[in-house]
Amino acid sequence: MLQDAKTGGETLATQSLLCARNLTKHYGGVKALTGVSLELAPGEIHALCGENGAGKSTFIKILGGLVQPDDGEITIDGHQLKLGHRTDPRLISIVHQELAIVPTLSVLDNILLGGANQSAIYRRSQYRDSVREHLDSVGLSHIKLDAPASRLSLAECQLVEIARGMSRQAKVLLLDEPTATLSDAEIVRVFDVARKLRDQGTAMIFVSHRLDEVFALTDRVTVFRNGQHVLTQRTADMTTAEVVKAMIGRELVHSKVMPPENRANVAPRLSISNLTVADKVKQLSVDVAPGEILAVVGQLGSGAEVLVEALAGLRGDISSAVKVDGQTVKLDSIRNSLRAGIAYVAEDRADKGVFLDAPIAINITASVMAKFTRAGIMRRAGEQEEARRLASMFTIDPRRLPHEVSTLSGGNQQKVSLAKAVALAPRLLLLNEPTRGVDIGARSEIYATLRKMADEGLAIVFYSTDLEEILELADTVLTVFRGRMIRHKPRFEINGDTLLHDIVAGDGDASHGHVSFRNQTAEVGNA
Amino acid sequence: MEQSQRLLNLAIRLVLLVGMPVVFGLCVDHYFSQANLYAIFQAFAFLGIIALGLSVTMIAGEFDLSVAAISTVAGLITVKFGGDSAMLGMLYAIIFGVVVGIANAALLPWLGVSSLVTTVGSMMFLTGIGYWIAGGRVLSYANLDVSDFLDQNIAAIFSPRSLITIACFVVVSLFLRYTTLGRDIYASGGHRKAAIQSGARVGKALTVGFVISGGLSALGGGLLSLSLATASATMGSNILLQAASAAIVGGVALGGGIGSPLGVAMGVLILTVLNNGLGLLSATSTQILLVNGLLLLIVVLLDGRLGAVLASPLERFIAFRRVH
Amino acid sequence: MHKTALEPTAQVSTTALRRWAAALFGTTSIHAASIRIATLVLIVVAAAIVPHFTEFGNMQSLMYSVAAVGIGAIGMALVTLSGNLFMLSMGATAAVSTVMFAALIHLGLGATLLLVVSSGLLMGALQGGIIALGRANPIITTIATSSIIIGAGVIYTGGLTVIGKGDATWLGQGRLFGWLPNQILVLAIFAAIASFILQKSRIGREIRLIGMRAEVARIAGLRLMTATLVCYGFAGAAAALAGSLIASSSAQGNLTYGIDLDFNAIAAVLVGGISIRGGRGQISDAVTGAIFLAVISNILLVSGVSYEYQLVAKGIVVLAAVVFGALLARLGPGRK
Repeated sequence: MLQDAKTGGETLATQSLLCARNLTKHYGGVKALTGVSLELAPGEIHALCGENGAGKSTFIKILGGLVQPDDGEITIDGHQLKLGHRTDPRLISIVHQELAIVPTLSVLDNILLGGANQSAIYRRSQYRDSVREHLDSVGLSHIKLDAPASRLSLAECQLVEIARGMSRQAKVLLLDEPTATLSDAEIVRVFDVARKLRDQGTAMIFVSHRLDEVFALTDRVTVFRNGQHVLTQRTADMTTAEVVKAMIGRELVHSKVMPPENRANVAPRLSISNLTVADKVKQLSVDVAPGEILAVVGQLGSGAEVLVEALAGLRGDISSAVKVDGQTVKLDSIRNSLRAGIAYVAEDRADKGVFLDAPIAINITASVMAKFTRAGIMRRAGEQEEARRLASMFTIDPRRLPHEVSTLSGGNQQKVSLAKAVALAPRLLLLNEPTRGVDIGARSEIYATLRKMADEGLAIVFYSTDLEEILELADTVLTVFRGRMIRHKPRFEINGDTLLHDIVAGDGDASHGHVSFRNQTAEVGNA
Repeated sequence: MEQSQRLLNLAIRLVLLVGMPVVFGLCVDHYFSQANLYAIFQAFAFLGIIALGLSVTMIAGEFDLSVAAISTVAGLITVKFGGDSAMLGMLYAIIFGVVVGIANAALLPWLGVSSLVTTVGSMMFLTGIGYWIAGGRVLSYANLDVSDFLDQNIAAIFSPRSLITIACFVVVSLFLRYTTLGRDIYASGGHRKAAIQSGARVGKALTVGFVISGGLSALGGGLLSLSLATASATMGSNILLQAASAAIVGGVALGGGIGSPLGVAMGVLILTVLNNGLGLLSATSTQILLVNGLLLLIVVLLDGRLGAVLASPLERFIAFRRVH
Repeated sequence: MHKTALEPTAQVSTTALRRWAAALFGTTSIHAASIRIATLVLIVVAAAIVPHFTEFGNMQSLMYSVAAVGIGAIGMALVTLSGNLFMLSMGATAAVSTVMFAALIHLGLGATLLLVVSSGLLMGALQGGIIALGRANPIITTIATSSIIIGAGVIYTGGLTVIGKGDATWLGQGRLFGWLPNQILVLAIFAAIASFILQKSRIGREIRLIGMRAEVARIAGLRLMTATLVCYGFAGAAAALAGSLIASSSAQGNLTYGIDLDFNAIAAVLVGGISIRGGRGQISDAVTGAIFLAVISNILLVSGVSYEYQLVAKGIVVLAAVVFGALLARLGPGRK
């Protein structure tokens, strides 16, 4: 029975474009995917939701042929896919979350990279017109085809990738978090393109954490949790709360945050006045009291993340001094930052946070080796004790201390990263996306430990794009838009909607080129 | 590397390329004579073809350390097996170079080992093969007509050898620019992970890159041996340093993804002009070696932080112009 | 404690296996352990089958050939462990050191060694400084400095052999107990010092961690600059010491002596199982690699095989070791 794709119809169709059955993938003891199935009808936009670690990226990699599943099969448009081998881009094209843009190539070359049906002789002229069209439709008419991709902003790179997906003319297009770096106007453009493609019969899988967008754009939604398929329903038949519940398996209960005691008469731990960082942070001033947990929020490019990185000493171009406990400190290098009592936990633990191939104990004491060194030689005894103390503080099993960090789950790895920073006994702890890719259990353990340390007097400043985390952990929220502070409120005065609005739209009456699309974004803004 | 740094480095290279002949012309009699210009292009003939091959692997994000060894063994093969027909000897040599190229590339994607390591191994292996073929002697080639032919004067300053090298530059340039494999080679070097993820044929691109490197090195080595009418196991041992210098001076980025045959030709010319001029000024081979080392060091520093610092005023200017 | 999801149990048991192997072989790497076994087997088999192998003269020759290369390999290992791949100026440094040794030997062996090794240390540290400060590519930089060093050497010697006027016999021909060359003693002491620095000192730990992941180390506040200076300084000192050993046998120095140290040291490091990605490996791995290669060369030599075939064999062994190591990495516990 032919189903009406636009209304969703029944969950099973006799004429699906994509049919993935029973996909299973285990990595050693880790069950990334178990018996997962998904069906797509032509001209359907299908959302795929799930927490980090739920199996979405494994699923995507299998679809793209980058990973071979242990079991299962996939058919697209009647063609049985040879799993584990690169999929024909005319059947399915994937716009990855991690941008696959080669900075040294031109925009045109990037879009054509990896395309099918390209003869050995590469005559760019025959493709220029169609690529130009695709670029224009995603709003990049100002980008020259021959411009080097290195000059593009993050958002522009994302749009180029989407244009590449379009130019492949695939039957199925998979978009993995395509809007993470985009402004609301750009998101509108992308949605327009998606709807146009849908009308042409392309089926799309839209992987996203942004439930408001899911509800605005998609026809059906599928939720994965812990590597398993949880539900597939018509989007119109669901509420946000139901989707969230399916994703995390329980109701979301915000912990009660006590209104902060009057901090006006306590000397601030951190005092920033008129801080400027290149053209990313402009004249920002804020104080953080001892024991306060401040969340710095803003969308990509707003300057929020730059602020935290600058305090860590990662940027040399910070101007204006900052005061820690009343003493002025110059934060132009990591060394100076550490000396000022500021510890930093980076956002990407595999690349920046932990030494995956080194034992846990070595990781934890990596920043404080000097404490256990006499005449250049390290004394193991004292070091082991300190590692044990910190491990138990973060509920890491001390018996695992000699094992390599790579043997831990994501959540425990993040704990090691945190312990490494806390080993410094800092006065201010900076966190960049503290629980990205961390499961619920480890997350709550980490929050509990952070709260305990704050109660003992540690000041914490963290950057996060996870609304739930911000509402759960912060005492105060500082919202940054285009480099300036636009809101600084205690947490109990803020709710998810106003927070999201601030992040995305700034202070509302700012007039800029995107404003003319505001009417169309109303749909996006309301969750 | 910022655009400003790249511009600065290009400017320095152009200044060198134009300035050196002027300076040498003033200091040395008969610098611009036909004989001397011919000598420069003869040096260009060998160094150019080796540097070209090496640079293709560098653009692909790899590094073929075995180019010198390939050219040496190719020379030996050509002389040893080219007794009746020089063409046949050359053919064997080129086939050998292509096979080595395929072998060098084969280990890469499959094993995930860096080419720096695999080509060290093949370089050692080939050095040994070279000694084996030579049998401890210097081989000589009887047919001197061939070497006369290869080195005869064409258009006053060129010879068939240098013209062959120039032709190779043109062909490789067209290949890199106008084929999908050429584009995939640039992609493999520019950002390997992104290239794989977007579906570029990285494995094939790397294989082709090393085949070009091996084939060109073999061609160069064979032609050199024919021209000199001798081949030995130690010929061309210095060429690796020179070829790497030429490629880097010519703007090929060490990280991959950036560079062009035209730039490499420029780099080779800078080096050959420099060494020729120094020789005319009676510099010893040691002094020439020293200068080459210094030049490479300076270029490497200019490509690193020193260059970024020096270029920062230019960068501010460019950023200013972009906004306004 | 809440059982956090997806604790990979398979990898825990692999770690246990590795720690067991560590206790047994002094190394956690399967590659390195295999080479140790292979070396022992090779020596035993050679002693049994190869004629003249166990003769006193041959054993002596074997040990002398191990000493200089072993020291060079130790220096190279430190550079590789720090994530800087290889130092390609060790051969030049060794060659120039042979000349320096011969020129200074009239001051006495102890003083000469002190001066030569210190100058090697300085030359190495200087290169380390250029690489760290200038953010220059380590391989190309050392290729460049190697020709500068040799150039300087040629200017000094004019290409001639320098004949030393002093007594270097303790190092050149001296033996302990009548059969153990003092050079092996020097190798052992040097290896012990290097191992101690790497395993027990703070800078040694930093070198390893930087080799594993330089970016993590930078953010954690490790001393990157100092570590680079230390590794390259140490490698330079190793090259100088190796050159001294070579020169001591005849108290003569020449720029062709020891010039192949780079490739021999690299071969030893690769065969011994030190990963070129940095961070993993032990000093003893490099020494074992050097011994393994020296034994193979010696077996071929004593069987009358010519120099060419020895080179071919060496190249094959290096390639085989690299392939072996890569296969192990592939089939072993999947990471990242």
